[in-house]
Amino acid sequence: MADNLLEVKDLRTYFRTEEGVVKAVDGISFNLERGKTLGIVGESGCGKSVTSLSIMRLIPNPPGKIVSGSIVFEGKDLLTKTEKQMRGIRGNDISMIFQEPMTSLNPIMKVGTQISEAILLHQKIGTTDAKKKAIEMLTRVGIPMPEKRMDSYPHQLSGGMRQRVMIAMALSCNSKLLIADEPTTALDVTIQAQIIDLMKKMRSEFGTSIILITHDLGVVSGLADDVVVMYAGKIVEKAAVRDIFKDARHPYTIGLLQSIPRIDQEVERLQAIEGVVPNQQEMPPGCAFYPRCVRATERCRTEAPPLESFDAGKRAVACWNAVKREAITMSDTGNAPMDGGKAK
Amino acid sequence: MGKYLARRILTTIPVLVGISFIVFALVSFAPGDSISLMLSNETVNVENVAKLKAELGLDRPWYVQYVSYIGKLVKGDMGRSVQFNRPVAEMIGEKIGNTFKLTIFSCLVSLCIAIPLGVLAAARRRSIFDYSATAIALVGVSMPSFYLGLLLILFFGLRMGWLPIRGLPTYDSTFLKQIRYLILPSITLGSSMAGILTRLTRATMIEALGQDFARTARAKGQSEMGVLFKHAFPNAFLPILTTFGMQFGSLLGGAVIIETIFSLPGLGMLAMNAVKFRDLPLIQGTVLVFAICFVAVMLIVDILYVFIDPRIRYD
Repeated sequence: MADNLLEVKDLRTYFRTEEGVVKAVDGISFNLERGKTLGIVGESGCGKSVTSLSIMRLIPNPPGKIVSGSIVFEGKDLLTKTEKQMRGIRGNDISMIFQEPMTSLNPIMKVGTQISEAILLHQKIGTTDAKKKAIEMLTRVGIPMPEKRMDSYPHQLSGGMRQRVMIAMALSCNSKLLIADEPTTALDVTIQAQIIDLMKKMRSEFGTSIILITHDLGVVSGLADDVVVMYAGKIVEKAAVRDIFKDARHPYTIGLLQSIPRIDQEVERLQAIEGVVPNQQEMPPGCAFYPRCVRATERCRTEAPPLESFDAGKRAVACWNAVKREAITMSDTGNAPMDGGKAK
Repeated sequence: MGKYLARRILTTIPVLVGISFIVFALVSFAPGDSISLMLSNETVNVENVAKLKAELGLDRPWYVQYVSYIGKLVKGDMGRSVQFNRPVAEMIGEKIGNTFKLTIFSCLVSLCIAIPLGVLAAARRRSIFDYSATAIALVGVSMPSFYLGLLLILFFGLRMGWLPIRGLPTYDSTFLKQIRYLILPSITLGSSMAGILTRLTRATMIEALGQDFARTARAKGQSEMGVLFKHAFPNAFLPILTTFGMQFGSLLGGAVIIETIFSLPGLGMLAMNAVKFRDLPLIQGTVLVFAICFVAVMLIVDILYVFIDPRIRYD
């Protein structure tokens, strides 16, 4: 049996708004093996960030609430922990880095103090030792002149440096799980590559498992072992990263893949997925992707497809008309015109 | 940083010159004549008035008067009070301490009420505590201070007899005794500032708590109190400090009314009497000192910025 560090089962996180209940995360399940990296992919608003904040139990309540499910970390359900117990876990066993390194650091606190703070919160050591540890962490994430940088304020560092500081802070207590929420989105492409390399290095040095949340399949291919594709609060496809790129089954995943510019293929125009993620109040009764789907049928409109496993449970897809590998034709790969209105 | 401070201090010089001119002009060009007040009824005649004017230098052109006014001011000579025939500077020196005590106490009262109330209201947003704090703040802002002063005098002074309602024992009495006399005036004077600062603290704290760095602090395992006071509050403090500085001006203005209601012998009462008697040098002196106090507070606020927000230092 696989050695799972994290098992999320049927997680549902809802937000109460004036317009009604928004089901940001609606019954998702996935596992993360120790030392592995799981990519969670999807467009803005698909619930990937809410998933990560749910694992940290940092959903602002009100309006948000984890209404059901379980998040089992090292054999214990995080949803049954008290707030005090969770504080002992956050930043210690599970830590997190965010998209915007500019705003994620406290602008009026020295970066050294911010790293030491994390260490002092979880380790029984004095301020001098915490400072030493912070310098060591800055060295390990490749910040030049770490002693000097300890006294810098965030605005004195570049975006890439700030993200390095965030990573140093997140890993300063040897976290077992690092949740990286769009860690490279706000960075220049060259810096993105550096940060991905750094995360790989940190993963092998610290043996940290990573949940990588992104809308960028390129980042996923560089870092993740497994991928979960989310759409409108639900998982639509799960697979190993190789399989996703070679043999995606869900029309949405295929659409995402086709929207990546590729250097090895000559394409006139990039294929975009038409339309936008439906508003929660206008969620169709059947498959949430149906209004945008090229393969939609009458059944998709009325009946939501369950997430069905195949390949001996290694993969899963939630689609009535999932693409079979043999069956991929030009029309499936999207070179044919989008035809979403056909089934309406 | 030194450069910033030097620049900031230098900018106060033109401000002070401007203030001195406005103060001079307001009083010099105001209608009314203190000369006739100075002379007793029998001696008011054209000859005596002209003689006294020449004596006081009031017959010279206004710009000559202004230059000589500035010249004396630099030497600490603010002229002599017409009413009391004493140096204005000396009279202000006697009273300014009481006004300082009153304003500093009022600031303390309002900060001690506003900051905890605002921070907790933001932390317990949309709770009964939040609604009550907002309501209290609204009352504080809306209630005219003279009316609140009278209510406090009526209840705590006359009905309950807990606190003295007028005057301030002079220098030989103990500090503790003086505090008792300052409680009611300080609450009266500080209430409006407390209301404004409570609302502002709540708003800026709610904003700071929603920032990404507050989420980072929580993700680090920081407690809610730690997030509130270590991360959110220092960031929310800048706008609070700015408003505090601005409000200090209205506090000084309010001191004129409050000192009169509570018969506190301070600068405000002195100014009030000076106006009643058209004691021009004394009016000029008190208004000038009020203005300088305000400029000084704004300067202090700007200097504090540098220590609170590192981003200002390097800009």
